Amino acid sequence: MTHIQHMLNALRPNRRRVAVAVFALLGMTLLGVVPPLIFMRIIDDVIAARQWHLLPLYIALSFAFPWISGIFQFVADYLVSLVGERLVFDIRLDLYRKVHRLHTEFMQNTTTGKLMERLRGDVGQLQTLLTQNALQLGVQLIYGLAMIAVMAFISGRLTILVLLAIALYVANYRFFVRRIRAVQRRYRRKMDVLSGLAQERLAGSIVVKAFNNERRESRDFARQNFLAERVGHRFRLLNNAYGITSSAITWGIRLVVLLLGVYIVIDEAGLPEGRRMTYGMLTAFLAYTMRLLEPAIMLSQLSSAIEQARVSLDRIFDLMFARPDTVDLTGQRLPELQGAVTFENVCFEYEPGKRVLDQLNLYVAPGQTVALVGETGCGKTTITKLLYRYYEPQAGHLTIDDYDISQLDTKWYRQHLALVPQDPIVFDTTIAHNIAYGRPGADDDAITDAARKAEIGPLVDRLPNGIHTRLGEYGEKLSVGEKQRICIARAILADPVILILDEATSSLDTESEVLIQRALASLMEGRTSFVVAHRLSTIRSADLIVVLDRGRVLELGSHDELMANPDGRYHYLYTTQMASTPEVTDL
Amino acid sequence: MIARLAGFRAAFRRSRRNFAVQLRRIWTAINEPLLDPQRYEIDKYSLTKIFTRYFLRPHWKSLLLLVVLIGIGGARQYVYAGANQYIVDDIIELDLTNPDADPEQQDTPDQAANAAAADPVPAAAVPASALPTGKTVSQKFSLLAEVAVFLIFMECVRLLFEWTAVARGIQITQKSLFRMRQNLHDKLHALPMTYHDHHSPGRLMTHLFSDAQVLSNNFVHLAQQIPPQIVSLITGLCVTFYLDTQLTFLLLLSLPAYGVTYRWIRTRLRHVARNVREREGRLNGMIANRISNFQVVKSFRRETAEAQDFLRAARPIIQGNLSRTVLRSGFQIACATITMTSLTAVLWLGALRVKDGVMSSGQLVNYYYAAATMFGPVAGLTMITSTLHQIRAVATKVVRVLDEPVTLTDPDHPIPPPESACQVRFESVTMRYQEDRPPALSDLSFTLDPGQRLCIMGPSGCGKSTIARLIARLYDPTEGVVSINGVNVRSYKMIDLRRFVGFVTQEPVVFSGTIGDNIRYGSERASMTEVVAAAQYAQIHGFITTLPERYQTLTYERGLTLSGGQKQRVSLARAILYDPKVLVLDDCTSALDADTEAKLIESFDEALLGRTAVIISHRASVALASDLVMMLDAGQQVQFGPPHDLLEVDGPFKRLYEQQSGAAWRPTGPDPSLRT
Repeated sequence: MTHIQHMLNALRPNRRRVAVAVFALLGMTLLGVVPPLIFMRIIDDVIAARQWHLLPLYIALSFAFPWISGIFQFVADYLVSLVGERLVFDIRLDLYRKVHRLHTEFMQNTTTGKLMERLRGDVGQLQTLLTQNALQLGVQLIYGLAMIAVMAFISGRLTILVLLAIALYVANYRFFVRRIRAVQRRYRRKMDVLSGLAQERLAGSIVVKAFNNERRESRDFARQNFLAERVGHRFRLLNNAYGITSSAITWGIRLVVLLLGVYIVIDEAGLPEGRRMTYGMLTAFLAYTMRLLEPAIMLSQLSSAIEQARVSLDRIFDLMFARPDTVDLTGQRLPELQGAVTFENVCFEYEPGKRVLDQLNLYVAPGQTVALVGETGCGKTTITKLLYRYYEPQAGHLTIDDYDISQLDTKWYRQHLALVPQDPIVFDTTIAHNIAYGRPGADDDAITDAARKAEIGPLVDRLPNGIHTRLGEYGEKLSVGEKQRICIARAILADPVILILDEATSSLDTESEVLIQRALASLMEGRTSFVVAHRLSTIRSADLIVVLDRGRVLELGSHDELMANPDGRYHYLYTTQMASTPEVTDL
Repeated sequence: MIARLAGFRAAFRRSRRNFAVQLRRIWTAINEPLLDPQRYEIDKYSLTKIFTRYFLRPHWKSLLLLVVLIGIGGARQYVYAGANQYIVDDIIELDLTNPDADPEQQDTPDQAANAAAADPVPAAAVPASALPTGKTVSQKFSLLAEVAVFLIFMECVRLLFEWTAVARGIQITQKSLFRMRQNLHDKLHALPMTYHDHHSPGRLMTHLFSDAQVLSNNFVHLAQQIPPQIVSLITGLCVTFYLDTQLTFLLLLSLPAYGVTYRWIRTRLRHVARNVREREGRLNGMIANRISNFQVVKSFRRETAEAQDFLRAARPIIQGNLSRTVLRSGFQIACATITMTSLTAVLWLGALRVKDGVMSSGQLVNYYYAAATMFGPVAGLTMITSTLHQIRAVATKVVRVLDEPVTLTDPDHPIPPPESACQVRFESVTMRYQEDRPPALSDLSFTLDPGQRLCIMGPSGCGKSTIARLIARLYDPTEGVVSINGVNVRSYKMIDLRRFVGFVTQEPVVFSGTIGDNIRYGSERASMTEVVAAAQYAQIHGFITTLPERYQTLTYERGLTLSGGQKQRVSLARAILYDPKVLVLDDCTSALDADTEAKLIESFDEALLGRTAVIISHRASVALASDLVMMLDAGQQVQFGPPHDLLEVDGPFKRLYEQQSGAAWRPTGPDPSLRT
């Protein structure tokens, strides 16, 4: 029920438009009852009763009719569409903003595809439900009732017959719906398998070619394709059987009404006017019968539409009410952030009982470069997440410039942080947009300056439109090294006090590597920098190297200090890595 | 920031409030040119091609049957109209029920009006049964019974026909869909790498699934729609002309009105719809892009800016959708108005004819119903032309894939594959991927003797991967010859060549299935012992044994996600198990840690024994373990020779080696990376 309330709330700014639309729809609907009546009058009063002087009146009405109902229809269509579009885009915007405020954990556990489905598919479903199903249903219902009233007025007996026939529709629908749905589910599953197979093998087509496996792939695909289409055949057959039985019922009703109607007309021909049924009345009745059956078919299919829309609604609101990112407590802003970071007995666990950080103590002075070293799962990334305040430590304190992080205004605080991610993320826009991403509105000079500091000056000079060159599918394609440097330029322009650098694991060629190292050096200068290190070679110049092991600090010191201890973990790690160029000492 | 967004949103709302502005915007949107015209280029014959290939040729008998069976149904409505005439004139005898309604009455409208006001139907006072009608009530009933039997019989036959036709139609749909999908699939795998380089798998999947489905569904749908419409139109014309020629000519006057409206709206509607779709696509692309990179969005506090971007992109979509509604609703209303106006005119003139005694009431009813039925196919056929237009765009895409030339073909007289280890030779090879780009390789020559190991090094984009791909003939060189054992690779059958040349890609590919299946990919008949041996060579066996289900562990969905290094080793094991004579490894150790890489290089001696190997790497350690080293730069060979010889001279290899071994390392300043 809360869902419906929410939808009504969302409709509130449009309530006047909705009212006008409903009025127009009602007008259009009730006008729809008129044409068969005009035809009936012409047959009965003019032709059968030979009252030719009435003809011009009815004809004039008949000419005027489509214009009047057209105006109503146009107004209704326009307003319904306007309200529907606005509603949908408002919801989409709210969801989209919500997505960006969601908790990191939620985002990591949800694929982009799923979130996109919420924003696109589910909201679309909702639009269909609101503008087509709900509104049309309401209108059709009123239309149906109005017609039934007129029909009952023309002939009570025939009306009961038609209503009974509608029950036939419902029975027919109930007979087929479960069977169709079961087959449809099976069909969809088979298609998922088929498309999964094709997607994977097309994405890996180079391997298919290299291992000469085109024929086997064809065979595998044919097998799944065959299985899918066999179920598809059943599905289509059932669907069409349903369609044909429905149409048989429609035509059956029409035939029966026509024949019985004529029977009644003949039978009652002796009765006085007003108590007998005329042929003109029968034509009107037949016209109504055919129109009544349309909403009847729709009604019988509606339950599945509503069911689908309910699922969509649930999903939309699940997302709407999902837990947001960490919220501020006191929200203090400092005049200036120095960048001193202290971890004091910090403990953290994602799942109860599994400590990721265990009594971590660490002091970092402003401007220092700290390298975090250790095996996967030792807590390197968690430290950076705590720094971003995506999570709160369960015990201990994390202080920034002697203030507990939870006392700071998160938004303000995060403005002083910048991240260079492990995999370079570059959007399909221009270079300038990418670099100015963290500082919208930066002027071209500042952007170019950042680009030069990040060693992408030569690249920019080479491109036809400089920093305004488009990237991505329809634009310039960049190498990984170039993308990494764009991310560095982005961080330079953002001008953070505290920098978090997640080092790339995959190796690049030496030249790109040198450029990146130079770019990083100019980025890290004068900032408190946390480097999540995967390759020891890049961190030898760090002020402080922290060797982590299962959430605890194992060793702490500069490269030279740590290397001085031959039994230390760092010494071991470093020498193993050096050992991979074994012949070095021989030469 | 929030205040700024609220302001932005309010302005957005306010601008929508002004109706005049709104109308002007809609008008602009209606007349907006196509955003991306080239994308919608259409091949006129594509539809015919697909139709003959997948429908007409294999299924012409079924199609013919379907068309005939279903077409008959189109005339059914006119039988009803005719039955109505019979009922009105011969059973109810409408013209005979009012004997005193004589023609004179029309001359005295006042009198009639008065009479109508006092007593709506003067004749009602006289009981109808007392009138001199032609038939008795029971005669009428028996006539009605005859009509009933005839109509019920007709409906039953029609139902039978329709079901037969529909069942046939479904069969055709399924068969053609199966075949089209299979052909597309096989074709996609047959297409050269250059094609896959330029088409993302996502786009290819669209052809394979939705495009094929749309085509096969629509063709059969149209086959079921067009014949009854045409039969209906022709029958309608015959019936109306037979009943009244003059009225029919008048009726036909409405056709140009339809035509003009349809033409005006069609192109505009199409453009607006496409522009909306294009913009929707862009917006969705933007959103997906931002969502998948939420970390960056968050870390640069872009939430508000993103919402503004969304609103900016959304506005033209709302405009477009509104103009679409306006056009569609306008078209519907125009059609309804034209239909109603013509039918009213028919009724008017027809009634006057009945009055003059030229037409019977039954004929008028028949004519009216026939004319009303005839407007159905007119509207229906306009719908069909727009459907045809839509699926023509789809057909164009499908035909483009099916007709895409396979540039790498087998020779007419293939040479049998070599038996022993192979010599690999490049003779002044130049390779360009695109005409207007500098070559990826220029004039490269080298020879690699059987069993030798070559390590290729150089900055990214220097052409290393190109060499690897040319050996496996994933591409043909623009100039020059790549030969194996002195035979141009083009002279081998593709299937033979790829049997003795093994290839490990730069981006490791792991399919869903078990790890065992992945290693066995390409050599499905290999025994478990062989698989384990290959995994041991590739240094992945140890890892696999730690898994609970070992080689049966599922990868991907609901299974295990492998790290980059593990994927690389699985790919390597796959290549070793494939047992090729020439093995090409494209930078497949980049994600390995130092320990593993050292062990891997050790195992190379055994795993690569008797094979000619080309290894692309950035790491000096790999180069030192090779027989030959080639330094490439910008597609040209800079140094070539045994690694130890190259270390003697001052050159790029020596510099690289020194950088990586850390000999020239200084503790301050930016620092060249050490490859471990």
